[in-house]
Amino acid sequence: MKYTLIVYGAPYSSQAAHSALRFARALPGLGHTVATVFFYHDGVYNASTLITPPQDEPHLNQAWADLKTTQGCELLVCVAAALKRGVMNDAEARRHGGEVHNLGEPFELTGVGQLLASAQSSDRTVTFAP
Amino acid sequence: MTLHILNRSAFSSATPDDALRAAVPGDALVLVEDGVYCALDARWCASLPLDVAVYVLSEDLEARGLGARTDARVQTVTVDDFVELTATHSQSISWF
Amino acid sequence: MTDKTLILIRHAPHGTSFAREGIEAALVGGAMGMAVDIVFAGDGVFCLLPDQSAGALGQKGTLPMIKALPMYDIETIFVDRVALQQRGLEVSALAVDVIECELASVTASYRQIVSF
Repeated sequence: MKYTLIVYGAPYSSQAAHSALRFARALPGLGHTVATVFFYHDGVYNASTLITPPQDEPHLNQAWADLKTTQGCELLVCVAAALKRGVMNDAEARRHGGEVHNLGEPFELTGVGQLLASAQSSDRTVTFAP
Repeated sequence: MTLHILNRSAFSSATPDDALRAAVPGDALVLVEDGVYCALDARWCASLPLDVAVYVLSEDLEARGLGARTDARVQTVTVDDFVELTATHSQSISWF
Repeated sequence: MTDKTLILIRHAPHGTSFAREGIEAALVGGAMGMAVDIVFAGDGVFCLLPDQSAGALGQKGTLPMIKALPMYDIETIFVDRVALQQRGLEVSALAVDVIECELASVTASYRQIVSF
């Protein structure tokens, strides 16, 4: 089955991102695939490339990137939720007159409509909240 | 059939009661994250409907040092079992 | 079972942004012509009170978005009967026309449920 996972939890503040990653990693072994991970609410912080955990904690930003490499899923970030929380790519930073950005490949900024579109085109949708 | 995914403790939140009230016969409920504390709550476990299967995620239980403390009504499952529960139920609702 | 998506709002306005971001998702879905219904349950029913205003520093509440739902083709707004009763609220006192329901009977008919 094709899954959309929705993540609302900020990294290291709640268990949501860990739970979603653990769930996503279990899917292929059971014959399922994760098509889309959609980051919304405080989940958008997962996309920050500035995430710098101590060495004995999992690197969640890198773990999401690895998930895309191994499973080919989309990593979609709600642009409205991200911008207001200070997470943006180069194009959005320039558009708003800023010089720094903290989001890039493999994460993509997209509208929240894509959350519903992904859910509707998947067999299953599972939400991971703080 | 709906899989209810619950991550709040019944000791501190009304969400577990709301989730139970929304479960109909044939639904299942899985306790994850801080939801695993529900499996220790005698009041909450006594209110479980007999026709709703209740599971608790073993990793989250063991991480909290609760391995052997769950109510007899609650069945321990692995992450793979959790995934299969989402596949065998037509939809899921996350309660938080 | 309908192919529509159900947005389930269980959080009150102001204290967290779950309700705002959930209603926002419903509005955007409606604007894009997607089949979306919305249901308010638990503390989410407080989003439907008519006398809300902006909070400190202009923090936005949910009332303007609630009133916009019908304009975005989201015509089915359910509210959980028990949640209203628990909070002493009457359906006639809410800011928009809603359909009172038993939550379980509504959720059972949707293939995708996104909760906030």
